[in-house]
Amino acid sequence: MTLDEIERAIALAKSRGLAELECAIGQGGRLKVIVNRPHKPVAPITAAARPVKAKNAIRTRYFGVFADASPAIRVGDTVTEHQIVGFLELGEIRFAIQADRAGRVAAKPVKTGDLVGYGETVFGFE
Amino acid sequence: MIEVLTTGAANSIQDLGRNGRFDIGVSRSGAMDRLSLMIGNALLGNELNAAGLEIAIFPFRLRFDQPARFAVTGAEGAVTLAGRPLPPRWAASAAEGETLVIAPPDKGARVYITFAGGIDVEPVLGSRATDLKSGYGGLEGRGLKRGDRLAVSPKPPMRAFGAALDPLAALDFANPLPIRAVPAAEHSVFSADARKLFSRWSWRVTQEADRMGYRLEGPELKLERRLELMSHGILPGTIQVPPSGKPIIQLADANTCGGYPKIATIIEADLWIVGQAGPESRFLFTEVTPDEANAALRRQRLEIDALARTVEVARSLAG
Repeated sequence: MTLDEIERAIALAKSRGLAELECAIGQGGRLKVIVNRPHKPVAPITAAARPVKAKNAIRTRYFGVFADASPAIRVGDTVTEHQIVGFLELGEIRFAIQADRAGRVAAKPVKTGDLVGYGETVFGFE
Repeated sequence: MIEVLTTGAANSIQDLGRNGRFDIGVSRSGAMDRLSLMIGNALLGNELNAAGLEIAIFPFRLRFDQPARFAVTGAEGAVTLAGRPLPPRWAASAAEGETLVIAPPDKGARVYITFAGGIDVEPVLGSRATDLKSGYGGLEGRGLKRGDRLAVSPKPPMRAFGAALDPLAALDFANPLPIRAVPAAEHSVFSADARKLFSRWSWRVTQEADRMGYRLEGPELKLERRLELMSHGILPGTIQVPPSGKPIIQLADANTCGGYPKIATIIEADLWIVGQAGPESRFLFTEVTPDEANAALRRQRLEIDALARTVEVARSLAG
């Protein structure tokens, strides 16, 4: 086990928001990383937590962190079909959230940095 | 194959460069923004050293004659594939006949296009980088021209995705860019005023800025006493001060030796910022220790490693 590998394990734990990470090293060895971070309430990430009254909605297909498109799409904006309206970040990579229809945005309950769950509405259309 | 449709001669094939041959006068060459080239390669599951295209002259257009996977990283601006806009730091698939268009960037100076499997050109002295000054490596040792055809690996389509890692986000080109540097061998021979000015002045990049080096404009940096130096080795990042007193940053295609006194050396972890800063950008130098320089580089490599590993996991899950 090198210093580099330990640093890597710590960086990995931090970037994933883990409090504790334990892994096997070499023959029978174990490394346990405990990240000391102040406890703060975790934002609710269920679809029910951010109710959106829109029958036409874009829902997430993954769990991750929402990131706005550039420029950010706001309520009242008109988007075209297949337009990238935001991103969902999973660790170091991000996937595009695309509009499945053209229309005017009536609701956008999330902002950059918000944790979103499976099937959560991130955009609602009129 | 891909075919270059629109380009400038300063656009070239680059990898991470030729290391270990400075003693025989072989410059490093390679990407001016190595970080963005590595992000582009990591997004495609390539070796970080795989060759890609460095684009510094815009617009640039190329056509895919076969299905391929590619990534566009570095400077940010309008990028389209068959007319569809692509987000920054993005990896996607191109179908046969589709055209990729890179417009002049809004932020940064150099765009990198990488391809899954790299670009298949013959390595010269262990690297596929183009040394534009000496005329070897890359494609016949020259920049790209219209009609050039390059071999890339045929790849089936994949789901497009991008890098969350966004180094450019921290840069504000409207203000002086903070750049870290370690004091160089002759630092103490400069006058106290010169040393103070060096780290407090907002140095302007002149129009004399290319892959060999950038000339900076600012106050004259004077030596405490006259100095006669033998020719000595220099590196990309070395900041020399010729008799004019105006600093020159030596970069990718720089000579491997010189005779001017050196005030500082830009740390490897920040050299990519220089590569993304065009003429009229301004630099503010901050002094750091060699230990801090090494730590900064290690942190940067950890971030790229993390991206490469996430891509690997995502690909294995996607099948």
